[in-house]
Amino acid sequence: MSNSTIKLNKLGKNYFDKIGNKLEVLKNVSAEIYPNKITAFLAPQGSGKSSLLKIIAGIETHSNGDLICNSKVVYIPSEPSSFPWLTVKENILDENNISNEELTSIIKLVGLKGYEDHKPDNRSIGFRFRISLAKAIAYKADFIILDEVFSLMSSESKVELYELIKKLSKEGFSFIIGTSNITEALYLASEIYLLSAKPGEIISKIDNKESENYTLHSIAEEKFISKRNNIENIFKKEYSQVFAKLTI
Amino acid sequence: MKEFKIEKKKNIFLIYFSFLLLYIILGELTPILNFLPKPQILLDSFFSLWTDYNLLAELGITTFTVYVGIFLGVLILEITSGVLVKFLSSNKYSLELFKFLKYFPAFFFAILFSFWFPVSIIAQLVFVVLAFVSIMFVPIQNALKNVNESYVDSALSYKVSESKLSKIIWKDSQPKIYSNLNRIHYYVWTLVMIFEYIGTFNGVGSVYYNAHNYNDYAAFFSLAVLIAFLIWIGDSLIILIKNKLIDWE
Repeated sequence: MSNSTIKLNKLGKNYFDKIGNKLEVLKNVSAEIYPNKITAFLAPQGSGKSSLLKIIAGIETHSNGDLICNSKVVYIPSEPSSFPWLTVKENILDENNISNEELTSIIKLVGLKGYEDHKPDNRSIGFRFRISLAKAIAYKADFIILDEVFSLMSSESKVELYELIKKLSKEGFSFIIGTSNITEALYLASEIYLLSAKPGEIISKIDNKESENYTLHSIAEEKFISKRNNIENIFKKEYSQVFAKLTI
Repeated sequence: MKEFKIEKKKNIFLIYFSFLLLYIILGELTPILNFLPKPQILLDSFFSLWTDYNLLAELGITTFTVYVGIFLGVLILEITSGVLVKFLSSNKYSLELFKFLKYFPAFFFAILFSFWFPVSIIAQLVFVVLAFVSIMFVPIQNALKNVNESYVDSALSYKVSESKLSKIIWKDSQPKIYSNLNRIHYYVWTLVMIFEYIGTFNGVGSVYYNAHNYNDYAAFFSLAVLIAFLIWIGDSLIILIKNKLIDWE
């Protein structure tokens, strides 16, 4: 785990459609992502979140601005990314050279003990996510990006994995979460960046240090609900402007 | 589910058996089926195939070329998979010609190949390998158009090499690539038999040629039933092996 920060400075991303029209997906995105924390990028679907996270992971390139990142970043997408042709153990060891002791402890850490020789095909999304997480831990990633990973999971899996992510964060793992779920962002992340509609632009940054002490009961508490409503209002304002722009 | 499958198999077997019984009764006792050979003649002809037409040796040649050819074809595809993935991913329209060629009748290629090469078992084997690999290009390209992006994105974040990425794409595509293997297996049998029929030199195709020349109507029929049975066994074996080796979706 490194202590280096990821810095985004006026980052932009443009795509060109089939007839050559420029589509601006991200605009002037500036942020600092610190290690040993959970940072969330919160925005509705289709606002360029995935593009931003892929740029941070080095999967895509940015069109303008600067990205300073000297860390090992692993990207875990919403769709299962563990290979169905490999067993749990083989998936974790793929790209990783770790000792048997390390492997055993990682498997135990993510809750896959007893499933080492199982193949992930036909398993739940939560199960397959645990494998991806274990692989990222074995890779000794400085930052683990979770791009809408909880969106397709069952409620039970979600709750279990929220707790796992919080536990790992307390142990020093750093996560960057892309989500469209306000409750999820508030519950997990200590720093939340709100992104506008396309082109994605940072509209607000919320310090949410108390998330570290949240339990599932906190979600029903007034303070949590009030924070949630504030974020909702920011989005409502932002999207009504977009709507106004569109209708004019 | 398993019980349902067993029940289904029982029903299919019952249907086949009923048809066979109907054919024997109607064929032997009534003139209704006189456009088909009589069951007794068909049975006699089946036994004479092995002596008069040397069927065992000819069958050996055909099955050898079909299955060794398919095996070699699969081996070539697997060995060159990395190159194939790279080439087909960056040249998306390179195989449009192959898509068009699939509408060509099978016997066109068989005749073409018999013009180009002298008739021999080796030529026949080369023909099967070439035909199989060419046929497989279309499912390969279709599979590569639907690669699971989550595997690719995740792998890229691990900074995997290009060859490793190709291997991941190929592994992801394998179930789609080989999903029609049994249909292609049948097509290869047809191609080989046409090739042998034209060459008149060896294999089941040459037995067909001789039976046709002698107007041996019953031999024609019994051979067709036997080949259908062999293709069915081959089909089942191919599906079994495929499901063992590629057990993911």
